[in-house]
Amino acid sequence: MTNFKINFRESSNIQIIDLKGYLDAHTAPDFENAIQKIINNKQYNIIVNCKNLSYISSAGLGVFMAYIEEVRKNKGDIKITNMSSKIYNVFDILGFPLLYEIMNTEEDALKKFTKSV
Amino acid sequence: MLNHKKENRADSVTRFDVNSLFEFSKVVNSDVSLQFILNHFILTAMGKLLCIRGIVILKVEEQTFHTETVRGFILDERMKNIVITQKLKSIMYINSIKKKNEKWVTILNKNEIQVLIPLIFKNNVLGALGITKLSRKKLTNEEETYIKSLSNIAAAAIAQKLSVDKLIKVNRELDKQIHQATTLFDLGKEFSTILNRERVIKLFSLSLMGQIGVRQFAICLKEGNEMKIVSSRFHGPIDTSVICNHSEFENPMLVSEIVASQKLKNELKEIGISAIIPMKMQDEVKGVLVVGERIAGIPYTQSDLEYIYSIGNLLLISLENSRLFKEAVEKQKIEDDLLIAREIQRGLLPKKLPKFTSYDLDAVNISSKHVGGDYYDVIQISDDNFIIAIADVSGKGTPASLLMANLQAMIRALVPLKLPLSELTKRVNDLICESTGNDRFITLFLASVDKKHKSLTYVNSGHNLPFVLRKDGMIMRLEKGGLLLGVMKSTTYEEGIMQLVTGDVLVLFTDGVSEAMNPDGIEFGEERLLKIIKSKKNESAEKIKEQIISEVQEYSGGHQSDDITLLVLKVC
Repeated sequence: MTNFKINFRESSNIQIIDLKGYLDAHTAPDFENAIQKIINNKQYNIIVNCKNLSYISSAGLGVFMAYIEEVRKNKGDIKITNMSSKIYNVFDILGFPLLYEIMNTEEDALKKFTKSV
Repeated sequence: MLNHKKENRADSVTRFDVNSLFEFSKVVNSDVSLQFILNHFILTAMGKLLCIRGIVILKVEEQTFHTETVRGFILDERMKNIVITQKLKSIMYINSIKKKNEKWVTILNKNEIQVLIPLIFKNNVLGALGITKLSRKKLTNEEETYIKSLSNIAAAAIAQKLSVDKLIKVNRELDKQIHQATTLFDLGKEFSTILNRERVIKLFSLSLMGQIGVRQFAICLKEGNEMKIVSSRFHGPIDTSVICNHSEFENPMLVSEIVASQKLKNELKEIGISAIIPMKMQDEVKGVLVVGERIAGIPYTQSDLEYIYSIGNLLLISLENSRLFKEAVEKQKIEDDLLIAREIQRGLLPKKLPKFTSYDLDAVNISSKHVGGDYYDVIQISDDNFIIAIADVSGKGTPASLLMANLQAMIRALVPLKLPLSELTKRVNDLICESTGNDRFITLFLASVDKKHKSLTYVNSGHNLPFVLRKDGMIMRLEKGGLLLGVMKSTTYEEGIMQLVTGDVLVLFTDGVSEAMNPDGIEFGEERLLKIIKSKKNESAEKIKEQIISEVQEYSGGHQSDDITLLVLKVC
C-alpha cells in the first residue's frame, strides 16, 4: 500500500538501517518498530542510511528524537548518513544537526563507531 | 625639496593606488562570509592607514551599533553595543566632537578610537569603521580619499551580504513553515483514518518531537471534570495540579513569561517545562500540553507555539472522533445483540398455533421496540384440554423481555403439572416475587378450555379484561382472579368459569391495543375494539384479528408506542 521500505544490515556489530521511500505519518510507526526492535536486542550502535529516502515528515523525525536518549544512555549512538540535500534541508531547518551526527557516507559513520569502541 | 615632495606623492600613489581598491573589491564581492568581508576590510584599512587600533561596528537598530570585529586592543564591555546619538555623515574625529560628555564619546575616547569612518550604502548608514593612527595625526587628503573609497566598496559588499543573509533567513523560515504546514496536513489526513486512541497519541508524540525537536513533554486531558496526564515523557512524576488548573493557560505561554505567580513559575521550571499550550475545543480548554527544552536549548518562537497549538487541537479532534467511533461501535453491538434477542424472543412465542376441532384460534404479537414485554401462548395439555395465556410485563425493552422469557419458562414448566389455574398462578406469582424487585409487575390472563365440557376456566391477574361476545349478543368481561403478579407473595387467586356456546367470540388483548394513541393523543379505547368484534363476529378468528390490528395501526398513524398482542378464540 505504501512505498516505504526498511532494510536491516549489520557490519562489525553495527546495525545499519536502510530507509527507502516516503517516511510520513503513516509509515513512521513502522520505522519506530524497527528502531524499537534493535534496541530491544540491546544493539545501540545504529546507522540510518537515508540514501533512498525521498521524504521525511515530522513524525519520521520524531522517531529519531524518541530513542536518541535511550541509545546514548547505553553508550551507543544513532548516526545518519547519505542524505540527499532535500532531506538534509528538513533535518537542518528543524535544528537536528545540533543533536545528531549527520555524515556524508556510511563508511564515515562506521569508522567513527569503530574508533570510539 | 620639490623632488622630495614628488617622491612622497609617488609613494602615496603606490600606497593608495586604484589597483588595491580593485583587488579589495574583487575579494569582498566574491562568495565570502560577512565576517570575512569585515575582517578583510579592517585589516586593509589598518594596513593602508598605518593604524594600531581598529573596530567595525554595524547598525542593529536606530542609533544602536554592535561591534563586529576588533583589532589591536581588547574590547571594552561597554563597547559591545554602543549608542551613537550623532548622525554619521562623513569622517568624524572624536576629539573634535563638541558634546564631549555624551556616553558614546567617552567610551570611544576611553578605547582610544580616534576616527570614525561611516559605512554608507545608498544613503543608509550601515555602520562605521573606527581607527587609531600610529602617528595619532589626522588623516591626509590621500588617506581620506582612499578610506572613503574603501569604505564605500566595503559598504556595498556588506549591504549585499546582509540582504542575501536576510533572504536566506527568510527562505529558511519559509521552508520551516512549509514543513509545518505539510506536517499539519499529513497529520490531519492520518488522524482522520486512525481511530485507535493509543495510536493517535503515539503519532502525535512523534510529530511533536520531530517538528519541534523536543524530547520531554506531557499530554494532559480533561476526562469528565478532571484533568489527567495521559502521556508523559518527563523523567519524574508530574503533579497534575501544577500544570492543569490555571486560568492563565488560555493561550500558549512560555514559562519564562509567566508573571502571575513566581511560585508556579518555579514549580514548572523544576519539572523542566519550557512552555504550556492549552488544547481547546469550541473555546473550552479540554487539555494542556507541556513541553520541555528544545534541542540544544533553541528558544521557542511564536510560530513553534502556534504549531504545537494546532497539532494539539488536531489531537483533541482525533481523540474525540475515536471516542465517538468507539461509542458507535458499542451502540451497533448493542443493536446487533437486540436483534438477536428479538429473534430469541420471537422463538419463545408460538411459531404455529395448534389446531383444535370446534375452536378457531388466531393470535399476533407486534413489539414496539426490538424486544418487548408482551407474551401469549397456546399449550395443548391433552386431547380435551388446552391452555391460552396472554401477559404484559411492565416497562419495555430488554428488562421487560427478560422477565417475559422468565414467565414463559415458568408457565411452560408448570402447565404439565395439571394444577388448578389458581394454584398455577399462585406459584408463578411467588416465583416472580422472589426473583424480581418491587418495581416489576406482570399482568397475566390464563385460561383452560375443556373441549369435552365446552367450558372455560380462567384466572385474571390484573390483566385487561378480555371480551366475550356471546352468540346471543351479550358481552361479558372475564374479571375473576386476583392481584397482578409480582406485587405480593402468597396472595391467592380466584378462578372464574363459564360455559361456551358455538358462536362465542373471545378476545384477549394487551393495552397496546386499547391504549394505542392517535396523533392527538386520544386512546383507541375498548369501545372501538368492541365495535369491531361486534361487526366481525361472524368472520373467522383470523379475519377478526386482522381487522382489529389494521384499525389500530391506522388509528395510531403508524406510530406504535407499545407492544401489541391479540388473541382471538371462536367457538365453532
